Amino acid sequence: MVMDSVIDAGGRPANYTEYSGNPPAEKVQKLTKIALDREGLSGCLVAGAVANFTDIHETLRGFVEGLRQVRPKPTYPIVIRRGGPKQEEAYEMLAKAAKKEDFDIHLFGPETPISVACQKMVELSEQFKVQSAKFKVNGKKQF
Amino acid sequence: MERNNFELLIISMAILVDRETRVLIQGITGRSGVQVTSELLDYGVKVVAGVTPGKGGQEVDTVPVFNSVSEAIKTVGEVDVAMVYVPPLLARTAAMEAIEAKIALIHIFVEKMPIFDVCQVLSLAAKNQVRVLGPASVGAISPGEGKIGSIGGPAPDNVFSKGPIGIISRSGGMCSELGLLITNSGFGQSTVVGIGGDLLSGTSYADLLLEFEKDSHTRAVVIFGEVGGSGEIEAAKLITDRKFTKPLIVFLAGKFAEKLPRDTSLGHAGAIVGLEATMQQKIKVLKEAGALLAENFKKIPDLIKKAIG
Repeated sequence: MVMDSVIDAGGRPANYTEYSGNPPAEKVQKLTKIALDREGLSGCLVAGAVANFTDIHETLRGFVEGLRQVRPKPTYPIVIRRGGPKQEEAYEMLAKAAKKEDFDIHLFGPETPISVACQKMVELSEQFKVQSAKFKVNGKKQF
Repeated sequence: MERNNFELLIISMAILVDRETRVLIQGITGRSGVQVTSELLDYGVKVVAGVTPGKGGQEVDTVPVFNSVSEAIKTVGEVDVAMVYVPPLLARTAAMEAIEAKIALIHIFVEKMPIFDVCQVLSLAAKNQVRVLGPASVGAISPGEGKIGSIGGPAPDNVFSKGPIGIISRSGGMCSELGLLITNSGFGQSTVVGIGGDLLSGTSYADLLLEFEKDSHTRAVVIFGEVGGSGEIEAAKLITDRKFTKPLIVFLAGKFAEKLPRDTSLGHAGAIVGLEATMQQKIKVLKEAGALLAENFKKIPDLIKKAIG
């Protein structure tokens, strides 16, 4: 469904992974490293339904730890849409991590439909591509 | 379930689980067993016993723990549902113990249960006329009435509300996602059921449609369909055969997957591209039968409105 929404919005998935059943942070960390180990990415989307029993804080903590280990450091937009147990704590942690480590993280909760978050990802990814192209031309950073 | 017909008539406003449902939890002393026990008690569910071999005599959240299912039933009386929350390799033994005790509904929450074990459990269940929900099923909730399994987690009221719509999905997350979407559009749910995403499942879309057909409070059913399997085709056949006569709304996820090589496995173990039926076949058969297909997820409430006003 996430993939359908990304494609409907005009995006092209470069890589894909998923987890289920309340995995430990380490597993999500490794998945993140593997999924983002590609050149030329223009965005990272972490989208899932409102979880029933998956600990959102634990799993997204794994995501951030994985993100920290990705080289070169991701400068592309990251969109996260999730809900479920400990979502609020998780989003607080993510906002802090984004600020501290200068990640471009955009957070959406259950009030935002998955498809809307996917559209947002594609939009941000397009903007990022335009800015990166400008950067190459001008030879200086935009922000 | 010892009730007279009169009572049944009054309280039949859901399928699989209602406020009278008596639950036994196998693996109650494990991490997820303890968690689900507290969630169910908070929701007002009658969790009457737990089973963990070797831990008889303990208590989990005031629920007495027994060494075996038969010992539990001997002490607390008959139960309607056994929930299996044991490690994957013990699930077969646990489920078989519950089947042999003739518990009417065995809910298997366990993920990664070996497929041969699932075969054995389903075959024994069929012989004993016991229903198995799962494996890898998040459970079922009849909002405001009761629930089994981990559906809705600790805060089911955030997404589910009471009303006339039945929901069936393999995915537990999508049960909640659909609950939220439908609740936000002003419709509540009669019962929401996660049937599990494994290759083999004890309860199919069709099995549940027959139950929803009988349930006087259900006015329409929404199915979250997926890649792989033939569940949607069986559901369509029930409409054609006039065995399911209420409006059926179907959303099919994973249309992109048709572009992937055949036999590619996605997410759920049973979600294998082209297995049994392709997306195109599902769409065609469902449309011909008269099911309402939601082209995108957000359109589901519009179709509900159209179907039941």
